[in-house]
Amino acid sequence: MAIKIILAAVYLVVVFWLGYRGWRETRQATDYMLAGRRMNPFVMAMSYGATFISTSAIIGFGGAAAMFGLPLLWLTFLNIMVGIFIAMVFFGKRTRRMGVTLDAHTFPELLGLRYKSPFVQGFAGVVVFLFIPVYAAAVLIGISRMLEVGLGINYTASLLIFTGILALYVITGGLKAVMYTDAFQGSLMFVMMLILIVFVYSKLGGVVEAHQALTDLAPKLPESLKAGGMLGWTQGAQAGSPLWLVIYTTIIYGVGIGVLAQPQLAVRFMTVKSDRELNRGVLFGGIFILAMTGVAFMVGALSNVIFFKQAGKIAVDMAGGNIDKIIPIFVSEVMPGWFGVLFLLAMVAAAMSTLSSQYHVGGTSLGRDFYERGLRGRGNPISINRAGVAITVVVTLIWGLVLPPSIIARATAFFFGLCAAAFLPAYLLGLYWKGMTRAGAVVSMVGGFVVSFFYLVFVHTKESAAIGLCKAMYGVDSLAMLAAKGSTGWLLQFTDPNIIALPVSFILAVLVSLATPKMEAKHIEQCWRHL
Amino acid sequence: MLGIASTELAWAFILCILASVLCVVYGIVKWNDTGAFSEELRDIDESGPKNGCT
Repeated sequence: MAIKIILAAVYLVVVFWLGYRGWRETRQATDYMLAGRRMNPFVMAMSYGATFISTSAIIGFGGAAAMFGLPLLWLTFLNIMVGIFIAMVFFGKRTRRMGVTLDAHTFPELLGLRYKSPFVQGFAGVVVFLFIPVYAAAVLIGISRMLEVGLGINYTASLLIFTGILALYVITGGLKAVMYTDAFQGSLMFVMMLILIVFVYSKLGGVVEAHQALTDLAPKLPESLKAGGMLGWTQGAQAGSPLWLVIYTTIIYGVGIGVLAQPQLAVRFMTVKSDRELNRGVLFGGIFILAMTGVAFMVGALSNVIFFKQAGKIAVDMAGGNIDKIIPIFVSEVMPGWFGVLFLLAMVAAAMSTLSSQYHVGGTSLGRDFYERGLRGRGNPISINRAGVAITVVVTLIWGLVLPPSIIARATAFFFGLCAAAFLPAYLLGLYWKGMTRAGAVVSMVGGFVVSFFYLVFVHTKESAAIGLCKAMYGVDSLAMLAAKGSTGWLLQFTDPNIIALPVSFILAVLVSLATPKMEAKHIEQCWRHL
Repeated sequence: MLGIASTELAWAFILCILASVLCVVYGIVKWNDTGAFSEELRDIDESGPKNGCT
């Protein structure tokens, strides 16, 4: 116990020192919102990666990999190719250049200035502020559950402690404090994940041997998973089956593509001074993400083999059916004691790095985008954004106290999906298509959001059953249940909202832009001046 | 392949590693590439805030 306390104390001292450094260097609003646009490429990439990858990815999705197996690796592939390579090379550079040219300070502000529309900025700000606390709460729940299992700390106490520590340095230090601490936390995560994968493969006799052992475990697959279409952990799921749809649409499509329109990630492209930092960031980010989700998913899946050898049970049975507990139990029961302490610290770091960015982007969305720009509110910009961050922290805490267990992976997919439907067409086409108009952006954003939200409330059973409105109005958990069992309509209840909402959002953007007057040539020329 | 029953999933495993390698190679090749307009953008940035930020 003494070692745990000493390590935790050292960790917190470093975090607070970096937070203090961020606060000391924050003199103007550009420092608070964009880290002064002078961030080091390693810090930017590690901050991007550590924000991207949280306890949601490691504990939540690692647990999902223990249940669904290696199909989750497609998500890692998308995380690297889409989340790092395409994001930094094809989105990042244009975002930075247009952002500097138009003097944008947040992701919603970039959209608002591109389309010369306070509504676009205000709407995007409100969507981010309203929904990022749900995603943040999922991260908060993840780390609190881990502390509950690892240290026996009361769940509610964990929520409150984390919230207090983070609030202190995010509210005061802004994005500089967030990114400095992120880089430290990301480095810690990287080392721990490397140790974890080396240990697991070594324990199972090597890479191929480990995979083969997992392949041979297929007969132990639970009947419920077989009924849903699962064939095995390395065999995948039967194409078109309900579980196949859950894995490939919600987890991979929803999260893998949704990353491109994440405000807390996109804003990091505007924190560096040239393309060079983004190029270097691709290198750091590509390695980092492989070590994060790649390792988490492999270890999650392989935990079945190790648990079965040690206790005669597969992972989901070891965790009593709660997949969020699989990775924490694996670390506490399988890994050496010294690693358990350090891994716990790495997971604390993962949660804190993501949460700090979520609080910051939620706060600036409320302060800068909604209050200052949408409502034309006046006041000191730093104070307004600090107040926005403080409100986001409180809202997240409330969600953390009321959201149910096993919510981590679903809440992440929910936010990523909603952002993709609402923002991706307006963001992508805004960067690449001069013909994209203000009306096209407005209709696409509102339409994508409405379709995605409707689908979540009335069609996608996982969410609609929990919300209960569909049941109250129509007597069923999902409108798709009214269709014939096994039909395409019936299968929609398992399909991610963005299979429908994202194409709708894109179609609306293109059709409305083609049908409405083009934006002033002078403004478009200004937007494209440095692209 | 690689002890993984499904060829598709074995490729997922391989592509994860190849994607990471691509990122490393890209980063090395473009290590010092500041991109077009870097001087001009720096001047705009250093000229100070325009959108109400102080």
